[in-house]
Amino acid sequence: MVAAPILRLDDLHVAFGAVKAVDGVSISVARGERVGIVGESGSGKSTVARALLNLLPGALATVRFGQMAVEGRALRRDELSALRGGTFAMIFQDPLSYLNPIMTIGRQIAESVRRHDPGADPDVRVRELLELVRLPAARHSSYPHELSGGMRQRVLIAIALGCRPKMLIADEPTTALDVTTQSEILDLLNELCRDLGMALVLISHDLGVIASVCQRLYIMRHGKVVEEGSLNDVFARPKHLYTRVLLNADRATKDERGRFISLGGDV
Amino acid sequence: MAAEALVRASSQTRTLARLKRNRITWFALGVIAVLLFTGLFGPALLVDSQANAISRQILEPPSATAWLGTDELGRSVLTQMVYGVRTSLVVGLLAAVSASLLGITIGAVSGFVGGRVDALLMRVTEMFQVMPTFILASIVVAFAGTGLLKIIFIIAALAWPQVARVMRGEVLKTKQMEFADAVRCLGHSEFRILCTEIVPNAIAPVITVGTLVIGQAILLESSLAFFGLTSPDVASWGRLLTSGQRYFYHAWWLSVFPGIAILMTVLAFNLFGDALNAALNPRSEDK
Repeated sequence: MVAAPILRLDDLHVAFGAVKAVDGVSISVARGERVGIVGESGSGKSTVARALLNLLPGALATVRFGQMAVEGRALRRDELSALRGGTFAMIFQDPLSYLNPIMTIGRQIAESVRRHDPGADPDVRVRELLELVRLPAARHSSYPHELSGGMRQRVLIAIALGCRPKMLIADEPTTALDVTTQSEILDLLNELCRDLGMALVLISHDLGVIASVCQRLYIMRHGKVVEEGSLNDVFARPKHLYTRVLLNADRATKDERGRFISLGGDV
Repeated sequence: MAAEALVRASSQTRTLARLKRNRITWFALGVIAVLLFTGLFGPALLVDSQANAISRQILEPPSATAWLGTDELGRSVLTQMVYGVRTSLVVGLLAAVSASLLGITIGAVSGFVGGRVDALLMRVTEMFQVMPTFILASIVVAFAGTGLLKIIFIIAALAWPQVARVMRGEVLKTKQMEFADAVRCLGHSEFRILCTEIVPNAIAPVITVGTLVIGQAILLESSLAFFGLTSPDVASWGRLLTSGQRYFYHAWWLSVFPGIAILMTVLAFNLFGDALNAALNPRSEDK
């Protein structure tokens, strides 16, 4: 028997006034599966993520979907907010602005633990989580502005993990980071998903990022999914012209052995 | 929940450390301590040194017998000022605290909820802002009589709109910041987001406005006293200041000393508010 997918979303439409940001997108994510959503700016990929968590401002956005099932259970739109944290947790592109500037990171992590993991001792759990994301436990009393970009992203991940989510939505988690830190964060996400059996939806405009983490991907353009499939299929046999253009753009920056062309030297 | 306390303590200790490091804090706290001491024990200590509240001479300049001079009825200015500490501090603090609490609540709800609630609350706020002080004061005194609590009520009713407007502006700014969305993703309720995320981030400028209200309240009490809207039996700095103005060219000490006292009190509370403001901001540690 195949277990029900953690998420099955059919025919999502989001419009901001007359502008259709998402136009009939269907996505499914199996338990523990790592799925990527790729697309250029404005293709609607972040809007899909925000619609999942019911984060779009009701006054501006009209959201409509055919059917949405979480772990096999069909949900109405007004039930989505209840999924926040415990089922779907989210991390963002610019970690500094997504952290409360006047609260120590320990307290911010403890908040999510207290909300979603009431049985746990918040302090013990905060230390565990910091360790899990490879931050020294003594850092719990730091404020966000005292940390580097990579460390802040680790804090956001720790806050999300504090909820013990079944699926993590990562919206461009490494775009604001330099390449070295980027690969560290991606490795960490990869490892956490594997160890905790957590599903991951990784949103990025960077095919390289998606390729290093995801098993399956969706390619979005103008609010529609233009291609989907396993990583190998899409990379080896792109069906849609747009995918081919994307792949070529990616390859243009690499040498014949598939490595990024680097000018060398220490930075 | 000892462990939780540990996590929380560390951020509070750091706020306290920042507050202590600021020298202005110590000056402000010193003035406030002197005021509190005078208010509590001053009247008892005066009995020995400046014993007679009524000296023989009227409008006597500062001298060894009357340190700060006497007024037109021969009453010692110092004695009146020492008794006036209680009135001025109680009126100033209670009015500022109640105006701030009311203003913070209304401003926060208005900014956070927005829409029609915001429009309605802001119209009410404006109504209070344009209300003439003495009409409100006369109405209250006419129906309820004079008394310190009523004066505090009047001052708070007139002062909260400025707090509310600043608070609303700060909340509007803060609620657009992304971390509010991040906390929303964790599944916290909107009310909780307002109380634990938005308000603490928006409060700093409001504290400064709140400390300004203390000074305004002390002065407003004096104008109400000037028009006979307070009880004449209660000594206050404001009453001394306004009644001394008539004799300013003959007896400067009647208005100058209460004026200095009001100035120092307002200054001390404002500086303390500023220091608190800076200490609540973790970034001030970098400077």
